[in-house]
Amino acid sequence: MSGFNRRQLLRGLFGGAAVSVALPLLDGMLSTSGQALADGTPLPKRFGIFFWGNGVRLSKWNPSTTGAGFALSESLTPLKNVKEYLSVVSGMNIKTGNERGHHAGCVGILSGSPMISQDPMGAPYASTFSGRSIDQVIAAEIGKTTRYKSLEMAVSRSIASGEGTTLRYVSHNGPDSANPPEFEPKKLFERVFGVGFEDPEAKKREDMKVGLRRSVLDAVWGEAKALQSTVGAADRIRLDAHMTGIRALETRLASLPPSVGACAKPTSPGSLPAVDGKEPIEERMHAFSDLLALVLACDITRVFSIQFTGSVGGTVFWQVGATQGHHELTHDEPGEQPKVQATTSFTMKQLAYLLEKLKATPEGTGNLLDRTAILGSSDAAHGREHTINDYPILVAGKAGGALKGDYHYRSTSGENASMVLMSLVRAMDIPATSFGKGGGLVTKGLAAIEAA
Amino acid sequence: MSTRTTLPLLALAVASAALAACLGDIGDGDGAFGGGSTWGGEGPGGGEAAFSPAPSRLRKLTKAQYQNSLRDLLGTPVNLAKDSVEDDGEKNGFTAIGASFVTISPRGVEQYETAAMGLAKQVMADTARRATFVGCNPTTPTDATCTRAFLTKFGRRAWRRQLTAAEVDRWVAIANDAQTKLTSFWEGLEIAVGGLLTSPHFLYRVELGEPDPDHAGALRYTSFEMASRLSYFLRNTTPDDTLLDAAERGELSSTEGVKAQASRLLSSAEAKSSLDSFFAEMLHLAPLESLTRDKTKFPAMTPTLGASMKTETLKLFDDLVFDRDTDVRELFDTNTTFVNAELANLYGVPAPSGGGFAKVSLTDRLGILGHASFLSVNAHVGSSSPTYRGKAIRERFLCESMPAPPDNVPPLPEAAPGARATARQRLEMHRKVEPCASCHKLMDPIGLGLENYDAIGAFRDQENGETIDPSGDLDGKKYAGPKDLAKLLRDDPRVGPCFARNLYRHAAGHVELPSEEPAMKTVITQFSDSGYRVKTLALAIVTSDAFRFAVPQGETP
Repeated sequence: MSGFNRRQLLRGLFGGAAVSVALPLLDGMLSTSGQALADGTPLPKRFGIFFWGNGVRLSKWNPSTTGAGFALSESLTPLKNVKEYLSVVSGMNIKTGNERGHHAGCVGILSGSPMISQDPMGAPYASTFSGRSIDQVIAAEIGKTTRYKSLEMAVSRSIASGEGTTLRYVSHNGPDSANPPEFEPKKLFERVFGVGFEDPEAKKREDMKVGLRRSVLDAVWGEAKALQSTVGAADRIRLDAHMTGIRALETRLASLPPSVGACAKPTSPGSLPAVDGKEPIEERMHAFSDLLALVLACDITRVFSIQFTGSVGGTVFWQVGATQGHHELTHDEPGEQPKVQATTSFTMKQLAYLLEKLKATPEGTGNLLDRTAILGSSDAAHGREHTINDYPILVAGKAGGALKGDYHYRSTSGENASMVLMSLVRAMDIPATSFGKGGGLVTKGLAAIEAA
Repeated sequence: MSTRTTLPLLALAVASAALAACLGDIGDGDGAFGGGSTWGGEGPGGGEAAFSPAPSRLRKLTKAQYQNSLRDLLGTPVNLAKDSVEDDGEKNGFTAIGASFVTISPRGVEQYETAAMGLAKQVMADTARRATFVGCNPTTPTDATCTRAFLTKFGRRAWRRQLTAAEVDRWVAIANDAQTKLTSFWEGLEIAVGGLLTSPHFLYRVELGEPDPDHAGALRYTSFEMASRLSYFLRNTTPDDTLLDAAERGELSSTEGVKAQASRLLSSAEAKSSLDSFFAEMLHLAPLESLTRDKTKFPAMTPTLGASMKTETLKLFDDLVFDRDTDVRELFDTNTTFVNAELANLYGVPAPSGGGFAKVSLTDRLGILGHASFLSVNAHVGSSSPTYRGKAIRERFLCESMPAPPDNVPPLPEAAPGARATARQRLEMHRKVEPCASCHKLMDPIGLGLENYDAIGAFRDQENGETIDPSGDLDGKKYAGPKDLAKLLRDDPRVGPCFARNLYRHAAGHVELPSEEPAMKTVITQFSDSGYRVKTLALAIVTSDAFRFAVPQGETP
């Protein structure tokens, strides 16, 4: 697979905690400028989502000055070391309606499309996405050659269950079709880097079976295809999604897993369970970030999403002295909500760790953050009031020079938040002419955050 | 089989008429199981919508069904890590409904494949186990006779139907290819077994129906499909050989045949755990497995208390349904329950001797509304929630929908200092000021009746130094406190039908459609005629036309 050839040609250095192992320096494989591979292929671009639940305190979130060199707000101060990579977008609105608080915001900011309510009267409410989330729109284009089309992660387990897929999952392929995340860094590690076979004979045997498993998957794909002709439209769509997954696995089995020599197999981050009901969300986020830097540098995937906390999530931010669940806290804390504000600052500190990690990971003459774009947002603007106007939106990373950074754009006319999504798609060199559906449909990006 | 025709019989635009009919007085109490009076034309009430069953849908095995099925297919012990496959997507209250909608993600495909191949390897690497499992002795590494015999037999178990000749040929060829390349009979079979368990025919319940000879345009679930439907509903696992044999003889296309097998399944040990999982889902008890509460605030809290709470509730349910086969509405007004030492400590009664659970009587509470399980899952981390509790009672016991919370909620007027001691005081503005009041008025006056129980269900008569007033009203009926509220719910005419609807949703994998209302009426009548006995309700559901028939899915998703 081309992804692996390319990966083997990349170079990088890793510093940091659990997964720090230096990659071999392969300068000779890069072009003389260090901006591309020796054969002229540009270094890959990457896209990610960092999502947190229950909105922000807008009074502490929005920077007081606009334009280049803006002043960071209280909430955003933790991002000071990566400010040159950061654009803050404020004053823009989700235009798909606020049919149901939190739900509408999730679907709006992640897909630019309206939500679907699934509420037969007399039964508990549910909702889902009407289309693909932006990570999957992008992955369909830039994730074709990598071992994983995309990787999904979630940090806090205090996720709202029982109201359909919207609140529960960030990444969606369509209605009721989510990409469930990995909650444990250790599991992601094992999935991506595999559990090695010590015994060479056993390994040889397993390698032989891999080809057979591919034939089996081919037969299974054929069975799903045949089954499709006997069912109605809704199930045909479901089977389509399943068959896509089968093909992806076949392809994956055909390629070698990342090998130690080329990709500096890291050590496992180990288990990070909650202790006495206290979730180690900071430790998990650090472990995910460290892994992710490696995964991106090795070109194992180019698209990721991290659900740091969930929409309507009940994460207890014990680190800032909170004793209530996050959603409850955003609704119940009176006055200026200092505790809620502390959870937002804490969350931005976690995003900062990821961004700093990517910035510290060299690639060519630059670093990973130079070639990545990350959308940071939430399920509501003001958590307490579940508003969807003046939405909190962050864009981090330079996307290979497509994005500006160190900029605060404040819309004075409540423009469509989907414009940011459109910019991100185009920053990935995808020649889209529109993004979103219904009220979320836009045909142009937000020029202010794009590099001229 | 052509299943994609449009049916004139189907009146999909009958929603409002059917809803009106379901609220009206129809009085068509067909006491016999499977009364076929529901089909076609005008109902006996006149103007009522005709019965039409729901469209069939592929139902993905839930996580529990997947694991139970593998246990039954491969024999215990099967080593399958707890989170080795995707979580269920619960929808409208039940994972069974989510299973009719969700897709298998790329990661899910990978997990299923890894799990299936890993388990097949476990079985085939064990010489004693594989001999029993396969049931014939190969004479060569590619023994086609033994391979074919085994895959035919195992295929029927795994796919819950007989494989077609072409399917058997396909899997025998896959096995033979693998046997040749690996020069091992067993490892070759391992590949085929792993493959059969990766197939959509295993991962989904493919219940598509066949043309119904009695109702033009409708579909009747085949005998094999009925075997799956009965088995996954009543035992939450794959059909056993007795059931598959009955299906092979075509016995499950009659109500009598269905009833006979269903009665047998209901008396199995797995029926208890299957209906327990239904009840746990109906009450949304899953969060109890990881219940976290601050011990300094709630001294009775322990790391295992949440799991004990769930056990208590399921023990009471089992007692009513299986041990005593009695009126399930006792759930509300019984003063007996089941406690272990940590629950006894929470409830302030002596710990039972012997360390396990024992039946006790409580004086400060009645029934499920006093169970720590119900009170804890419908509470905040640090405090009770009259709103959540009221909402749960409406949604789970009365089958009533709550409107969406409003957006752009303005901050409520701050209450006077010192006037916020109790939840009743804190929520007062929510009940008075729009846009909050219209919803909170539906929930809070019920939930405030349970304020004598804190966020983990411990009794209290004061909050922040003020005496709690636990009185209120349930849709106009006044009550003085939690025990009165429990009695009101016990006799509420909405409770029985709602329980029946919940069990039907779980069994059928969808919320009942307006066009299914005539069948629902029959089920509900049979349930009430039986004195609200759950096993009778289960039989009424599986013999109902709504459970046995379908219509094609249609061409618009």
